[in-house]
Amino acid sequence: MDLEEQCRESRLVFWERILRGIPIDPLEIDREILSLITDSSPREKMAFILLRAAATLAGTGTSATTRTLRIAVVYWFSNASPSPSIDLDRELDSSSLSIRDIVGLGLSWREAALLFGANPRDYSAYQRLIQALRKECIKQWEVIFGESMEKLIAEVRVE
Amino acid sequence: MLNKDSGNDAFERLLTRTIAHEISPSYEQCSYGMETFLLSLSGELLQEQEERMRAHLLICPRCTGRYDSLATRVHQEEEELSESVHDSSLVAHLKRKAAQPGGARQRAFAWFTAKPGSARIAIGGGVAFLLICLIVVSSLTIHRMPAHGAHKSNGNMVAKGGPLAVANVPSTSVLTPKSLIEKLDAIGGYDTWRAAAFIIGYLRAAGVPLESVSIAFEHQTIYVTGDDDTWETVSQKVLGDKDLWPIIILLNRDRTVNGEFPPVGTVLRVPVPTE
Repeated sequence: MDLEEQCRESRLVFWERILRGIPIDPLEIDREILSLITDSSPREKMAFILLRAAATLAGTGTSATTRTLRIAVVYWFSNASPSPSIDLDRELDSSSLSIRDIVGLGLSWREAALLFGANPRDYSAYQRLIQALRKECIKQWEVIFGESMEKLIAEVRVE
Repeated sequence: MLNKDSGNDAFERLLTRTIAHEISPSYEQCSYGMETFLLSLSGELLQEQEERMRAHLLICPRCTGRYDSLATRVHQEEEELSESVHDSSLVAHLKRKAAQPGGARQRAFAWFTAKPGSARIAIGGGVAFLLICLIVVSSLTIHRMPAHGAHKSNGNMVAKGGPLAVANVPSTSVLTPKSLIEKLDAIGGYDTWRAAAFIIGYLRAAGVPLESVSIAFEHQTIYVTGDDDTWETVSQKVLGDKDLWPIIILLNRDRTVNGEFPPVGTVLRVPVPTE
């Protein structure tokens, strides 16, 4: 297995913990992944920073922020990839969710929020989370890689 | 996208693209084997290993297929096992009888285990002989399989009834009535699977095809065959004695053709030794 795959697996382990609401020390992420990605592509760096920022928010935010983050993780991963073999009738339980359970489900924000007993109409919670996550990513990118992340975001904006 | 602010919108696109990359399929070589999957399914993997394996399954379609297929088979086996508890085979029947409070057999067993070693050999032999007579008589009335050519010639295995119908199985010098009784005495117990070893030994000595014998245990579990496994290694791992391999074959007759050891990844039924 090559280095990128190894890092990807490590990151997914951490995402799984965030989904379950298990606190993560960002330094633990650094110890496991940082030294492996310093010369990697911007995509790898972004994956690392995004995870680290999410772990930071989960650790420093309020319980409402943590819950919104967990809802967002469900929302993102359920829409990240189509899965040909999903069981749409399966009942989901937020206390025992795993990423594998949700990949390909294509849940809406409303459905993801309902899983955690949150207000399904409160889209502003998601907007606030995106904003906070963006700020955290930009800050951490600069601290860790010594450069600006805005360029990366700008490239996406142009597309 | 839920966010309409252009900066956040671009960031969200970057984010969803990153998440999609995180779970995109990988076709790299990986080192996960069936043993890891089985440990996971039985809840025996360490948490850290379990998390790592789960993460790997998210990105490795090959392992996901193998894991899901194994999980299905294990689930089916477990269902079958729970049904087989009510099996009406002789051994299960005797075991149930022995477990009845105050039953004659329970008293007989208590009396038996209280005897010194030499007496147990004689008594065990006598009891086993009676059991075997019962089974041999009933088994001989069942359809008898034709003998196969690959049978290894061995003084202990080719007995009065003619060559055995099981081919390509390991030969052993233990499976004679006398040595089985000695083994039983050495083990020092008389529970179901050891009784089965007795019975099998007698059947083989009498040339009764193992295919005609029905056997079940009240406590069974599963074993997934690995790369270097044989009937003997499985017997050693599961029962702590390589010479008890006929029990494994008997429990898995539907998974073997002519006694050939099944391919890697096959789910075998195995007894749980009761100490």
